Amino acid sequence: MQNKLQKTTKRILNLILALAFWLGLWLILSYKVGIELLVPSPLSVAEKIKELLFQKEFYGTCLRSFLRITGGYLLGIASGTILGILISFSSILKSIFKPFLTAVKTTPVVSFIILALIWINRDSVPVFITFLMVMPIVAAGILTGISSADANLLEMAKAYKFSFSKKLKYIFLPSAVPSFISACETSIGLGWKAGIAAEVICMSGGTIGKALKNSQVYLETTELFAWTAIVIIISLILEKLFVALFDFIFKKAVQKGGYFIEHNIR
Amino acid sequence: MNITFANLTKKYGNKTVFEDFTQTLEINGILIVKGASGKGKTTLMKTIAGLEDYSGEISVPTDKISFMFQEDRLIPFISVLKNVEAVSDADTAKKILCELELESEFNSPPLSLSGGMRRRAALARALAYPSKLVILDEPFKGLDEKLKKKCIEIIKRESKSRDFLIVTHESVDEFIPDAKTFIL
Repeated sequence: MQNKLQKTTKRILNLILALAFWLGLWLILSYKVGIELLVPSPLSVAEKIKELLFQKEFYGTCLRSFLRITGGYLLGIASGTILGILISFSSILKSIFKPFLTAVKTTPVVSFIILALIWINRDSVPVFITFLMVMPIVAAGILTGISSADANLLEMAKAYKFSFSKKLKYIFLPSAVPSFISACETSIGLGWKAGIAAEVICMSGGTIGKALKNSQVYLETTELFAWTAIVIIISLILEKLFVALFDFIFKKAVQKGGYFIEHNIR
Repeated sequence: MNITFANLTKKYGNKTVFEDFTQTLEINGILIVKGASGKGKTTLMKTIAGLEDYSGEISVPTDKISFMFQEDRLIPFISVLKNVEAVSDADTAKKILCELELESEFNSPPLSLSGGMRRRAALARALAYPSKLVILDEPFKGLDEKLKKKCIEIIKRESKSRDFLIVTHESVDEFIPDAKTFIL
């Protein structure tokens, strides 16, 4: 018990130390540069965040970004799951979709944002871009999980003439769960960053991305720093929130289905 | 039941396990299969069950075959009971697990069981599957004498309605004196 307390205290102290180091560095840098327009001080950024927090439209802006990006994220998970299952069992579909998934993973996100801006409504671009970033990761996670199913169990299933649905239920899907959850977890941050980037380029109305872009256009560097800090804070909260949600859903599903699947949620 | 092999050839890469193997296995209840390690007992059983590719011909009068592997191969994601229910109906699964003294482990994850318990759960699955032929590969591995005797009693009873091919290194003559043995 005492050992655990000591560990927690040490972790908090380390965190404070790291935070103090970087804030100190930032403070020295802004003091040395001496021009707020180039490097605003942490204090003026904190003041700006406080000011933003008291503005009514701040919450609407954050909520719009949150809803659009979350929408794209959930769409990415759903379609990535279906696509992952399909390409795991059909070599033709795998041949068709593998190059597409590789292309999506390797093409700079900005290329897709500009293309999407030509194709669809600017307000829908962040949803589409988040979806596009998340879907291949989830599909690849499912594919990896299903491919890693124990060959011995599959031979047993062949001996006892398991139907495809029985193999899916008892062997393939439980085998895919750990890599599926890992894929969902890793794609949260990525989806959020890509979504914000899409908002910046598309200037989609009343969003964090537009606020960031406006700060840059009007040379409001302090506000730019403040919004960036807000993006980081929301990203951290979102990540914790979704990981907790996955943990809850995973445990409920495992319990309800009577499964025994070990997976250490972050 | 007669199982006939005609010119069976089976290779793993450069290693030949069977070359033009021609034989008829006459099973009338229980047939014990023995042979030195590496002779291909497991491979032969797997070819009967259609789990291995081969050249030549094998004639098996049924395609409803239970297979208890050398490893337990229980699905680790579901309970012991669900493992058996996956191949049979719930009542049969429960009855056989109870007979094999696993009633307290119905809802346990297979990985939490001891080696002997897992072996019995795998045997329960093979027996619960409605097959005409039951292939058991080293079914008594890790079982003490008492449990081994119990398993053999159940197998003997079941052998009145279906045939058993048992690969084992253990001595079973004491329990099944009338069983025929095929030496590979």
